[in-house]
Parts: sequence; C-alpha cells; structure tokens
Amino acid sequence: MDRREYLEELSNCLMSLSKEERDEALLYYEEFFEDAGVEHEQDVIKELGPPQKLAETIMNDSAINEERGLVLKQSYTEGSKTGNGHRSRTYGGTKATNSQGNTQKPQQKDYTALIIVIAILVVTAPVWISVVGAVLGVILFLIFSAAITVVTLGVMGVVFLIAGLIYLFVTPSVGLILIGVSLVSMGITTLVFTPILNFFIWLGKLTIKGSKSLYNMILGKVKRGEA
Amino acid sequence: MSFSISSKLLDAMVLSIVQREETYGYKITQDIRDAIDISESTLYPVLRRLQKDECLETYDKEYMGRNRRYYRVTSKGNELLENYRRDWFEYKRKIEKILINGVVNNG
Repeated sequence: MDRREYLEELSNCLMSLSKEERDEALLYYEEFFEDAGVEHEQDVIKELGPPQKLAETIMNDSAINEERGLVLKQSYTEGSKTGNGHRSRTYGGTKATNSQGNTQKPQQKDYTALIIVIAILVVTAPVWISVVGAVLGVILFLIFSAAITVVTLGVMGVVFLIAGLIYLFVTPSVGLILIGVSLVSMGITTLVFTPILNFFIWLGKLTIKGSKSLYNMILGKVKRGEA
Repeated sequence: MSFSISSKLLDAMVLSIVQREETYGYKITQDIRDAIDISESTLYPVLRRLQKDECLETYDKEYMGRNRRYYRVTSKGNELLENYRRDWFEYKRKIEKILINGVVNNG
C-alpha cells in the first residue's frame, strides 16, 4: 500500500464525519506524509497503523472526547514486545477516568428513580385522579349540604319564630311549641354557621393562592426556557 | 519509559512547543516523540481539539511549492499554558518531595 491508497482508504473510513472534519484530517495526514518525505513513506504507514485504526482515533476525538486522546506508540505496529507495557498503563489511565465518570452515576440514578415515579404517576393517573376526585367531591358535597341545611334551619327558625309569636295569641300551646322549635333551629344555625363560613373563606383564599403559585410556576418555567 | 502521560500534559507540551515557535504538525509530532513514547497518530486529535477549544489557530504557508499548515498559540492558549505550567510545578514539587527525598509530612 502506498501513500495515495492509504489516504484513500482513510477517507473511506471517515465517511461518518462531516465533510469539514474529514477534509481537515486528510489534509493533515497528506502534509504529514509530505513532511516525512517520500523515503519514509512506508515507515509512516507502519507507524500510523491500519487506516481503519487511524480513522477510529480521529473519530473518537472529533467528538471532543477529552480523555481518549492517547494512543501510545506501537499499539498497532506488529511484532512490538516493548509496547505491551505502555499499553497496559494506558488502559490504567482509561480506568482512572472511568472511575471519575462513575462518581457522577449516582446522580443519574436519582434522576431515573424520579422519572420512574413520575412515569408511574402519569400511567396510573386515570385511576388515582378519579379516586381522589371522587373523595374530594363527596367531602365538598357533604360540606355544601351542611351549609344549605344550616341556612334552611336559620330561615325556618325565623319563620317559626314569627308564626309562634302570632299563634301565641290564638292558640298559646301551639305558639309555644313553634317558638321552642325556632329557638332550637336558630341555636344550631348560630353554632355551626361561623365554622362553615370560615371554611368557605379559607377555601376561597386557598383557591386564589393556589392559582397564583401555579401561574408563577408556569411563568417561571417559560422564562427559564427562554433563557 | 515506565510512566504514562496524561492527555492534559500532552496538551501542555504541544502548547509549549508551538508557543516557542509557530510550527507544523509533523514537526510537533517529532519534537514530542523526542521526549516521550507516543504514536504518530496521537497528535492530530490533540491539535484538533486544542484548535476547537480556541487555544491554537492555524494558517497556511507555502513551503517548497506546496502548502503547509502552521499552528500558533492564541491568547487563550497562552493563558491555559501558564495554568498548566503552574500546575506542573506544584505537581512536580509534591511528587519529588516523596519520590526523591522520601518526605511525607514535613511541611
């Protein structure tokens, strides 16, 4: 194999690179051959190793892969016995960078756990959203019914009070019963009215607060996305 | 040679060679190979990476009727090299303290 064939083969092996990167590499090695001189052509070919291996070295690093730049001498030339020592040390170096890389892995695992949890929540959403919704609905229904009952009792109390006062002069016994019932219902209303009113005020405030923070969250995400 | 060389150290050596004299790929390779045992295929990725990191820049010059691509160190490269040199002195001092003098905890 001469220099021309070598570079042609190299070009073929670099097809997965961009044209710019490929041309850059080919130009470099073309000049490299020139500078080595025709008389050293075969030495250079032997030293550079098979075009496929050289292409691998170029491509591994074109991806700007920091720590993989080293290919020690005689790694690919045949019949080298002194080269083995260097090779094993190179691999030692590679291992060291791998262990550095490993320190970042636990972080990634945390993320995958989080992602899995989110995925499970999303997938099971039809089940748990309906359950949660049903429970919340029932609670709200009970509170609303209680509120309506209290209001009704209050109105009833007032009506019974008026009716009782009128009947007191017509049929005193009926009037007294009506006044008694009205006092009981108005008592219940005053007892329960304040806590229920407070609950609705609290619910209203919570809704406003919740929608505000949701709005801010979405707005914040959008802004961060733009940055 | 019993000791392997890190890619950062190789970066530093390349920057230093080019800083001393603007030169071309083959010459840099041979200069490095005078000192350490590396393959001729090692240098291209190093040069390319330094170039992409804007520590080296290239220009073409005619030589004996053909083109030759020369490298020179950018200001960013000079800065990086200064850092590498500082780190190297510190590293060398610590290693030698133990390796040459066998001192571990004195100072």
